[in-house]
Amino acid sequence: MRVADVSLSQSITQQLNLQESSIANLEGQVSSGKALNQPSDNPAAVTQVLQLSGQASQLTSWQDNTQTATSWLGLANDSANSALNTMQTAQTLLLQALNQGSESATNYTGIAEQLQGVSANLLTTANTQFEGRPIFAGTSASSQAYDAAGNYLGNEDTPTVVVGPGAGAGQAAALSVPGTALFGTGASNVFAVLSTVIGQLSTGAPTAAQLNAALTALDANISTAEQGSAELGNASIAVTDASASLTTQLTAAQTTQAGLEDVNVATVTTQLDSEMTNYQAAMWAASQAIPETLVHFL
Amino acid sequence: MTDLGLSILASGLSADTAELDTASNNLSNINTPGYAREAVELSPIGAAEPLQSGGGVSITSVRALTDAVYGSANVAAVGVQGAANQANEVMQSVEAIFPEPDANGLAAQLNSFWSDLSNLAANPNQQGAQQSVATAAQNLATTLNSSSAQLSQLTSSLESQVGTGANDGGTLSQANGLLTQIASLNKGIVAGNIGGQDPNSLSDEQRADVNQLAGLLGVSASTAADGSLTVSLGGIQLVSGNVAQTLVTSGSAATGNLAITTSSGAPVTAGGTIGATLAAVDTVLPGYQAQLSSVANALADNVNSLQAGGMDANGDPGSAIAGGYVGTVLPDIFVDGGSGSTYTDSSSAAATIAVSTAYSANPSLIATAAAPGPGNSNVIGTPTLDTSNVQAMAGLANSASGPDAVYQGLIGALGTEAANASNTATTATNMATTAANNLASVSGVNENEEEIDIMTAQNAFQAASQAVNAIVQSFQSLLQAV
Repeated sequence: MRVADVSLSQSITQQLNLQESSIANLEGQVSSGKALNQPSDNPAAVTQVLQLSGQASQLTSWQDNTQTATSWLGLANDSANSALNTMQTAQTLLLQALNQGSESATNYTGIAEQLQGVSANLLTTANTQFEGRPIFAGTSASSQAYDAAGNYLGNEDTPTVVVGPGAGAGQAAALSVPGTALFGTGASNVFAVLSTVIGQLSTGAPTAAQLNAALTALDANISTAEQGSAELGNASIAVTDASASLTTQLTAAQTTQAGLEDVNVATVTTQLDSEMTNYQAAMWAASQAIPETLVHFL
Repeated sequence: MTDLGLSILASGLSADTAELDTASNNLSNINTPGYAREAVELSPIGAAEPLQSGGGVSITSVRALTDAVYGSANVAAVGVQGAANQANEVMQSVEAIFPEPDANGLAAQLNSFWSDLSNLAANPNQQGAQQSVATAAQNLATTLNSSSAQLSQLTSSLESQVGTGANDGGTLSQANGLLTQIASLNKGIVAGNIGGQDPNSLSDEQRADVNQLAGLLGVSASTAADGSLTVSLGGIQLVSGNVAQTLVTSGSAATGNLAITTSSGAPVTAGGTIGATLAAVDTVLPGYQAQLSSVANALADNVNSLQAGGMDANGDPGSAIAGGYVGTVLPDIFVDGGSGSTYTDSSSAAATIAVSTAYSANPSLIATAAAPGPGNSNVIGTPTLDTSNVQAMAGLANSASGPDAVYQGLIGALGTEAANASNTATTATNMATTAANNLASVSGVNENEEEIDIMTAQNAFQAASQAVNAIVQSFQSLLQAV
């Protein structure tokens, strides 16, 4: 076929343009470190990267939540243990009062005073706060879980955070338990029981029946607190499990995302190398072909 | 009486001169667009009487070498290339508006909105957490607005690129100029043909015009019997003889019906750059505008509906559960338009979505808590730190009908369309190059060929000169002998 000179130079120009754009693309990948710089680079992979980064962001949020939950539950567990200890101290004091038989009134009032101190301790524990929020008040906005008289101001809803995928908003993890799960409900709560028996002891002549009734009520409170404490322990374990699983999932999502998004430096530099070689060959060919016509040999 | 062949030689010398002139002209026009290589057509002059030698050579014509099939294939390929390149440029511009994956793109901003909501769910009584959510919502609205504005700006700049067809520097006015020029060249060509003149240079100019016009409009051209060129587009003759149509636009980009008609109102289906621009303005860009608005709709509808069905930490109810409540009722978070108080879905919502002023002025008015119900002890009007509603808001990140899923669909579609446009443009360019090379194999100038023609003509010229010399010497010796 006849080849016009203008075809030759146009073909060479077009070829060089194509190679230059391919080199520019590869260079862009190497310098940005990203294989995906715009949606058309690989539409399916870009969509997947968006999904994965959304997933990673959510997993990170959930991980933050597990940390919040761990802090809350750590504090709640400590408080629950301390509450149990305090209740056991009260139990010991009541047993002491019961075993004293017909002791002097002064001894009873002394025990009453000690129990008052114990009750105050317990109230402080029940009003433990985390970042300005009482941890045993359920989801109530009240600034305290218990008032000075030992009345519960919170509600029966467990405060939660989401720590993983699941039905509805996701897998909920308890931050704490409502105060009633540790300190009992209404008139039979530990503060009411202690307050009643303190009143009876303060008279200086409590009956054995009164002391026994108080001991029974306190025992019930202790077993409630033990249950609540166990609930908190289980919640801690659930959060630890969730956190471990989130870490695994987050690593997987990030690895997959990096695999799609990040440049494989070895591959790209090799491609760049071979493109450069082709480009140089094409330029050499152009430099040879374009100037050569018959006129140079006349 | 004979002149001993001098007149024969004269015809040969003038033929050689014509060859030299033509070769020089070919070489001069080696890069001229539309130029078709010319060749001198010679024919021998027959003997006047039997048994005599011939009478020399006559120049029949200087013919431009063209090929009708390659020529029309080239015009078609240029039209396709013009359309493909323009479509590719449009898609690249759209991609520049959505440069995903991007650390600051809409997807990343949605992610931070959800994580701010999740943080608020863990810290419902913290003002900082409330403020972060309001700021993230504001950022989302701003990004949606600005992406939408960039799409609109692209649309209007494409619209003004086409122009109205009047003399406004638009591509349509260029096309009209070319149509007029082709018609006036037709006039010259027909006149030249009739007068027996060589209209090659007019045809060359016309071919360049048609090529340019094909790139703009995707026209096809055919040569009529009188040598004039008929330019048509989708069955409508734009140039016939010395009459050219004037093209004007109808409709507008704003209404999505920008189109081209002849001045008498007949619709013209344009190809080429202008055709691709019309498709972009009427279909492609409104499509992305609508998809972006779907993202806005999905965001506003989902968030607002949870907002309406919950209550804030202060116990203020959302509009759906307020009933006859006399206190504060929660405002919608997203509204369409800065001063509005409600949100209505629309295919242009991305342009106007905003965060309601009532909410942005008071970021605590977000429905963190669920409506009173069997699973909780919430009461309307009573403060609560229940966070189940804001947990549900954060969970919208996973929703199949949520804004993330819709936006991912947009990016996937955009990527595919842009990649296709780029491939199509490369293919069209290759095809146009092939078509141009095919045409050039007939019409293009080859330097070597012309050099050889020059040398051949030069040799012939020298030989003829030598013959003239011989005849002159013969005359002289004859005269001396007398």
